[in-house]
Amino acid sequence: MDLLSSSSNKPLRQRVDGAIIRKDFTKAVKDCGGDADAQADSTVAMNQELFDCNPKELYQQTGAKRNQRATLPHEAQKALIVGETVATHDLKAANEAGEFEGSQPQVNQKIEGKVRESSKKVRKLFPW
Amino acid sequence: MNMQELQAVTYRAWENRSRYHCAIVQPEYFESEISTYGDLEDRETWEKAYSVFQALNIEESCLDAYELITIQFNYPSDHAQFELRCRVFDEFLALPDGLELIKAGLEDLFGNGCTPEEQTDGFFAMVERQLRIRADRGDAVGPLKQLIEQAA
Repeated sequence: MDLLSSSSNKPLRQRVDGAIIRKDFTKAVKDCGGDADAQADSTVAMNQELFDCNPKELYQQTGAKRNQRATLPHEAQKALIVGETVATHDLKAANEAGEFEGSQPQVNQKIEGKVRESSKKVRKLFPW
Repeated sequence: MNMQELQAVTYRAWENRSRYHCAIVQPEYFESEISTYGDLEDRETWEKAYSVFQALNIEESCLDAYELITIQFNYPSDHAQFELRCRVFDEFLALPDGLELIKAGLEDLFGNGCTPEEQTDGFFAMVERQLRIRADRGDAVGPLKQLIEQAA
């Protein structure tokens, strides 16, 4: 990746936040061949590995406003940002290596497995 | 989707009811649970069971409400599973938080006059179909219609 591009036609840039990282993650799942079920399964897998619960339970247990990510505790938001960033890179690398082949359910399961693997790595970085 | 494929996706959706709670999957209870929705020989039974399980799975996996609009219920009307997804949508709207979550998603996407980057045509096709079915059945269309008009 060319981070220090000297190109004269520079792309429009903006501050990267949780929403942008989430969109990159869902796009990576899609690019690997995952359908809507893969998005749901991967999201649950990441939450289980990072927080030992699913997204609905995460909102309930932290007293956050349902489905408003900005109301989650900051530590949880940070963990999701790291988790989704690592998983996005791992998915892209695995996709380039041709790892996501087979029927739709098979592809979905492989994507979920990869996201779970990435999330396990990330969990170790956090103190809980 | 043939009957065998429908049974396979129903099993996966049922299995996810346990997996999403880190609970042990007990396949021996699968058929008896499906039979609470009707005769195992009828396709209708499987479609109903699948829709109920899948709606619950989508609700529990939802981290950002706008993805209900851009991903989970955004199937183009010519998609092979459009009809089945419409049934899931119907079950989703019947959940206690269902309509509120859809509302939150629409606000995320269209709040402050924003136009979403993603295509959402599939979602609105699903809503239109839902409104038609409800009107035919004589059910209330009010809250859903109101939401959509606000988004538009």
